[in-house]
Amino acid sequence: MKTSHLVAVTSLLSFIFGCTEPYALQTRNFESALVIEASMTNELKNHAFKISRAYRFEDAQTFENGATVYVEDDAGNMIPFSQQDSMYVSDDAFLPDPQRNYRLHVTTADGKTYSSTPQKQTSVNPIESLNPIVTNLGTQRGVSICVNAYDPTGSSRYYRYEFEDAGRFRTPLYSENEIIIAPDGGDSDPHPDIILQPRTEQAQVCYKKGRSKNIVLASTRDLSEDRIDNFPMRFIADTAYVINDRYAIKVRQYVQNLESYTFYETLRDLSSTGNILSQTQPGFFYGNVRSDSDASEKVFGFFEVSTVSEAILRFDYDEIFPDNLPTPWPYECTQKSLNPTDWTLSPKGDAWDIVELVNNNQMYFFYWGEGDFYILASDQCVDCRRTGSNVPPPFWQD
Amino acid sequence: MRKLLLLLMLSMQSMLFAQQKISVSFTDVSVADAIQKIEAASSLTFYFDETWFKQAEPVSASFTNTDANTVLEAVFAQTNLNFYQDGNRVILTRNSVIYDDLPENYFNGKTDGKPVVSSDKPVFFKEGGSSGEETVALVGKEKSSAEKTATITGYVRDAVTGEAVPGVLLSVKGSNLDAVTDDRGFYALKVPSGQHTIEIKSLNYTQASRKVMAYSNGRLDFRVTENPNVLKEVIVHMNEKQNFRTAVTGVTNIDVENIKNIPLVLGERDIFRVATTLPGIKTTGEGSAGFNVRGGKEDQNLILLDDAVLYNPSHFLGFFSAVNPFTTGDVMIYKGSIPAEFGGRLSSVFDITTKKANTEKLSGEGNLGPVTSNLMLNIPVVKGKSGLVIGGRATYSGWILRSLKNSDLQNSRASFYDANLKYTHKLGENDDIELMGYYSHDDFSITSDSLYKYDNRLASVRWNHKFNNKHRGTLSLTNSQYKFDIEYDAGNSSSFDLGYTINETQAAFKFRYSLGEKHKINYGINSKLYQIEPGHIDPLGAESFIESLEIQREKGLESGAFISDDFEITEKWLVSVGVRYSSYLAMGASTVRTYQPGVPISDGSVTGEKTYGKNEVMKSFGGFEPRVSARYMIAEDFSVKAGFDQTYQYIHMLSSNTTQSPTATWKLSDLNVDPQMSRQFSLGFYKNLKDDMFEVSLEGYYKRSQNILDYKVGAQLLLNENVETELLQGEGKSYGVEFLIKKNSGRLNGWLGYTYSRTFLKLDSRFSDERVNNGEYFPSNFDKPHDFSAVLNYKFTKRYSFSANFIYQTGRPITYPIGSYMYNGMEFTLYSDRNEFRIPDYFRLDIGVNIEGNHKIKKLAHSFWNFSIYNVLGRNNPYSVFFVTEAGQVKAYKTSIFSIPVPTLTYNFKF
Repeated sequence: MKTSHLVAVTSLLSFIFGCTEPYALQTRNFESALVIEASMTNELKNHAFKISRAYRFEDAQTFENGATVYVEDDAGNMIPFSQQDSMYVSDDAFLPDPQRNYRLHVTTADGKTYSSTPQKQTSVNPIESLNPIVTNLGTQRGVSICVNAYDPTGSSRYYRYEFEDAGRFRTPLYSENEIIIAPDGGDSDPHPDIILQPRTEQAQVCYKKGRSKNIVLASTRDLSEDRIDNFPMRFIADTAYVINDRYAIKVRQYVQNLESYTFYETLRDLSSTGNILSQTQPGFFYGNVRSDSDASEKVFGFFEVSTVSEAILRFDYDEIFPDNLPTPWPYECTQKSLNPTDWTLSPKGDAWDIVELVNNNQMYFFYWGEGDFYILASDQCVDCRRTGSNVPPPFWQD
Repeated sequence: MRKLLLLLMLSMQSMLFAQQKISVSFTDVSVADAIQKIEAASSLTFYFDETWFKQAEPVSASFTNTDANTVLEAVFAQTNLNFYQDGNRVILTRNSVIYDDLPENYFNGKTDGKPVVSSDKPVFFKEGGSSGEETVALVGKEKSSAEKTATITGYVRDAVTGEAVPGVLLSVKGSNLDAVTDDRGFYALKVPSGQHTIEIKSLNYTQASRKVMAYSNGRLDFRVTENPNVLKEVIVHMNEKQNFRTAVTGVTNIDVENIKNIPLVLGERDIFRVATTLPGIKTTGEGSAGFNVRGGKEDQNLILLDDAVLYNPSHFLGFFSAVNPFTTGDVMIYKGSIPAEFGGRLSSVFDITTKKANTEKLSGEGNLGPVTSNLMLNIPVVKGKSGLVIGGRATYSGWILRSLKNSDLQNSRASFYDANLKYTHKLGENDDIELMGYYSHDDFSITSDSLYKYDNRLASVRWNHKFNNKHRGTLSLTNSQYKFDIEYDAGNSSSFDLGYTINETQAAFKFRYSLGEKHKINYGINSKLYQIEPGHIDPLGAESFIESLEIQREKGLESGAFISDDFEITEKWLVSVGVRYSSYLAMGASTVRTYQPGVPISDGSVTGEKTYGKNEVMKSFGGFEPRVSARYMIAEDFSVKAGFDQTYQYIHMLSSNTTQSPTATWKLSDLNVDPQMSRQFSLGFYKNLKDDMFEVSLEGYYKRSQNILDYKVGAQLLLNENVETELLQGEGKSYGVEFLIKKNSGRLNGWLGYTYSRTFLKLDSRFSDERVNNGEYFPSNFDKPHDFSAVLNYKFTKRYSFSANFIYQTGRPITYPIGSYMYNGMEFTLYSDRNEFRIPDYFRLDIGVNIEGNHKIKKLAHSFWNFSIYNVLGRNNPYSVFFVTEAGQVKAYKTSIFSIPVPTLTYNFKF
């Protein structure tokens, strides 16, 4: 909040006197730093870690292949991990022992070794409830997804949240039929075939799925009670189409220790801007994984053993905003009436247009017009799979 | 009249002695009466000017039938009159003996300007035929046996008002001898007897010189005329000689009047912006508040306005300075060799003095610019005794914002004002009182629901007392308050009101004592109470869910005692030896966390809490701060100086941003935050060339400091109850060479400065999260090795002048992103080591033209127009480059301020 205002101040000043403009980033003196994301939870499963490398701005993420990865507990037991595609997955499913300290060991293909500090599982504190609360963020009305949790022992204190969500929506235009463009089947006519056939897959009702893109943290360290009280972990504007019909969100709450909380907090603060005139001091910071041989080698990694709990919230738009008018369909729906049999070459006949529009996924069949003309409409207005998935997420319930 | 005397002297008649016998008797009569009685008792006729007798003591005599010569000698022995008897005529002369023959070498010898000190012969001088306008003043009474030295004392007064003029430098041309008038305009100047030219220099008065014939101790008053149009004049520094004469290194005086000749931004004269064109004083960037002096952080500058501390020296995020240039009399900046009387900050002292009122006549000065207007008035209250200077400045920048097309900005507001007042009252010969008040206010709101405000409030009372000519003292009481407030009122649950306040009150006694001719001793004590409200937040409006929070208050008492001696060992050697002892007490009431020793201070290492009662001392610090410097005159106009000083600082500014921002807070030393300490060695060479037309200096320094505050990455400083967990303290190291050449007079004047300097910081620890750049020294945020500035002014005629500034600086260091990485499904930026790279170099050229109205003396008001263009090259100087993770993508932006030429027209007037 503070940040946004200072940014506004600056943009004002910039408007008058100066400017802020994009700056072409170029990687100078690139250093290849190992990045280790290693999070174990109190779930009986094959735990998976990701090991990658930092990359130049102009490149894409590179995974670290051929590393030897294992977790060692303080009783000397070793839990081996093996590479599966871009992840290192534990050979066996296991549940961490809350009494044990664990350490991560990684040996990269070039023989360098890295290890973490010992980590112990955090205390268990499940989410009590999720509440949708109507709030305003500035002038924007919307719904906050609020979390409640309580640890009477006061030993949890540090929380991190992730979510997956999905919103059901329905296309405004629909047809039970769809056009398939078949290649020229060797028949006498020298053009592809436009085949209209019943849909094989439902494409009117879909789910727009999302997942958390920001680091969401909460702490009760300054409170007398270790209670998360309606903490707004996600805000959705009432005009967002994702909640237009029915919406579901699955929230994962990680109980962290101070060290991992601080790590995520720093990561979060660094990725936001501060204000332009007087910015936050950025810098490189270490997690709890370091090189065994070279203390100055840049390693960005964190190994944690946290507890996790999940809760799911589902609601219809009308339950939250009973007085609101329905949110309008967010996309433009244009229609075109075309003759599917006009294969004239010059000027180019309508049928050619149909082939091009459908092949380019720009427009789909909507209904028959007069004289056997096809009425085509914008793709996302007819087929919901253009903007969502017709398979509901596992946590979905109608 | 003096002409007549000269003619008399030069008329070389042989003396005729007609021995007349006189009987006469009188007791305690005036000289005039005595002469009448002698005339009555003899045939003698006296020739004289009666005004000569005004200062003479009454005379007594009783003679019976005595030689006229003996009688006259006896009578005039008590006065500064000599007599010459020619028959029955007695010609009285003031000061001079009329000789009836010349020394043998008179026509061959070149006595002009050279005191005849080794000869027992009378002192003679010739009047130079060419300098016809110059007259010679005669000081002391000539005795036939010439004295070798003479002390000339007297007052310097304003020719119009008759008021004493303090701070006037009187120097003897061609020698190292000089004196400065005190508060009463009094001076004492010791010279070899003989002819000298005394030069009189002052900031506001016309420079003058006077030929003087010094015979013996005597009195000589000067009347100086105020510069008829100060707006026009480029005034020569009064301290151009002090530059190499004093023992201190690293001192800069800003010529406030001269600032107008420097191109302006938005029509504002800005003392601090001028300061930053001088070597050793830098800012992090354009539009950033605070200064970096010789590699010191922004919080290490003691900015004093009439003894009271100014916490935020800028308006509008640093674009304008908070000090009104029209009411400012003098600015002294100490970059090194900080005098022992100052303490509490590591790097510098900006000692700003408000103008003293002229108690005789009403005057005023002001300007009209596109963004602000400014007015200063000088109002005499009791004529000759007391007067008032008031100044005010306000913005009317609202129209700029309103005229913008962008609707978001039309609701914005950005304004500031400041006002100050100084009242001086002369209680008597030995006492005067000065009262000063200052208030500044800034507010800006960018959206209709947020409002940022900050205020400085200063007050000081000063009582100057003279015990005697050698011993003076000053008692001063000051109070300063700085606060800021952020109101966010969106009418919803997150509306809040956040505030911060720091208040300090100081009492200080300072004394000056002249011990003999060679020692000038300064001593004193002071004590300062700090009270800080480190932050509170309250809900705003009924809708708000914000819970009130108030961070517990901080209190501290900082005290100091100092003594220093400026000891002139020989003509060539001058040493200044001073020591200051400062102590600091962190006081309750407070509840403080205790942390496990030997591990990083963090929420995880808390061992418990300790509660202290009201005014209970939680922790005390203290230390000696030696301040030593010495000067050696290699030649008359060439000196070398060296200095060492140590300073402690018990109050620290917290700002996780690279620059001082309005929301930067100040924190006191306590159980978990140690005082900062710095030691500086400096060495300088100073030379004046061509009769002081050019001043050249070369200074170098090396500085080490300890416990410099820095922050962990991404620290949260505001409203943090345990802010110590975010802090790191490390070592600083800086060094540099500063070169300055200044031309003070002539059509072309100005200065060129070049500095090569480096400044580094080391944050090392056994713990990796407290270590930055592997615990090695790294360049600090304001490390800009090369810094060149040129400030030049060229006068075409008396009415038209052209000025230009050119600034070049190495780009400041930044922490550069060197790549990206994915973590938790998001892309983040991988940063280089702290401050490993630099933004592009900075350069800027500004130009300005001053056009003055006519110079008729009878005009109601004198005025001039200033037209200037800031950044005339339109150089898009990057202020910063920053990086944001937006929608999982790293984006880079470059910010620049004033990226286009900014023209401004300002109207200035003075009456």
